[in-house]
Amino acid sequence: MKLFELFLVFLKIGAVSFGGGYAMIPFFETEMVSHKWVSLTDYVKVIAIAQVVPGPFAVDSSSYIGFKVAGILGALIATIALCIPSFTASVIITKFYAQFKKNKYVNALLMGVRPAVLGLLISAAYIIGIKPLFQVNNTIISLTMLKAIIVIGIGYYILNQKKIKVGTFTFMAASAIIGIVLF
Amino acid sequence: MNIFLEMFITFFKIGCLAFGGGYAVIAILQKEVVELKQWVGNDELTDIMAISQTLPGIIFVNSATMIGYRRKGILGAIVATFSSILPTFFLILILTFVIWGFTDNIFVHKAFTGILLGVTALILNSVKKTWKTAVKHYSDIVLALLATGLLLFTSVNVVFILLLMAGLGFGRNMYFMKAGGKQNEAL
Repeated sequence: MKLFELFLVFLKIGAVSFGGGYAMIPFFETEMVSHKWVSLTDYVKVIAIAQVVPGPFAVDSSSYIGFKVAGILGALIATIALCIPSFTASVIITKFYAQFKKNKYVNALLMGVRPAVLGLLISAAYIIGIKPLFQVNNTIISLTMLKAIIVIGIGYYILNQKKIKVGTFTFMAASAIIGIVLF
Repeated sequence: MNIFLEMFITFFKIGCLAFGGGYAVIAILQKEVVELKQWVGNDELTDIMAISQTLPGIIFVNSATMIGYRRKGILGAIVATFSSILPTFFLILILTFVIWGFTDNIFVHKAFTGILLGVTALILNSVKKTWKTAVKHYSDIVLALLATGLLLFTSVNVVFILLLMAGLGFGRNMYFMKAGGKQNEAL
């Protein structure tokens, strides 16, 4: 029963999670909270660990949540269910690619979804960067909060530097060191 | 070498190297699948990337499915999808086990705080990149902010919010097409 529920929930996430990667965070968060599968604090830790694991971030989430709910079989079912909708869509689209590309209704829908993806990303930034700090101490403005916002700002600035290309590994290692020093 | 085995090895390798999310993987796919294996052309890969990003699901996995399907039909699609996910699937389970025991450690906890702030910066960076492709008109900003507001301040299920936004976006685009004719086809 739990496996079936896992299958259905991840099938649903796979079918509606436009934007990929971090834009999927709000989808996972909603389902975890409503099913009480994994606490947000634990999931946030998984997001941190996922940074040193190569490959799609959504697979990190589905494997971990699936495993927590129903062991290795749960992990397998959650991950497979997550991939079924986009797998089917990818195969169909590749088959009828030429026709789809010219269809104005398809285009209007795909373009129409893009602003929503932007909204998903903005709320993902809030869920990961700001919300956990609110839970630690309930004051609106605290020193921790201020430090966090400064660190995020500097990180963002570094990522947007054209001259220096920082690898993901280096960037995450530096973030970890800054975390140890500042918090 | 058997083409399926070759596909398995190639996508497994890309799965092991794919740090930094959907956008970073474009460069690796270009090198491995276009230059080395020549399974698809560069223009095809660009199209594949564009479609993968507009489809639901994982950008890298969608691309792998499409490349596998183009090369060897449905079986190729299955092999490519499966092998691209496999490294992540096992690594996250092993790593969560290894690291979890240490998470009560104060330094590990602090390091995680730092990493998550780094991730937030990464997400803001993809907000900027997505902004370029998503915002073509001021009404796109209104739609994006509406979605953010609904997601953060209401308990409406994210699926309904997305469907609502898709409907609004679709309606808006159809209206523009009707009103502007050819002029707005680039929208």
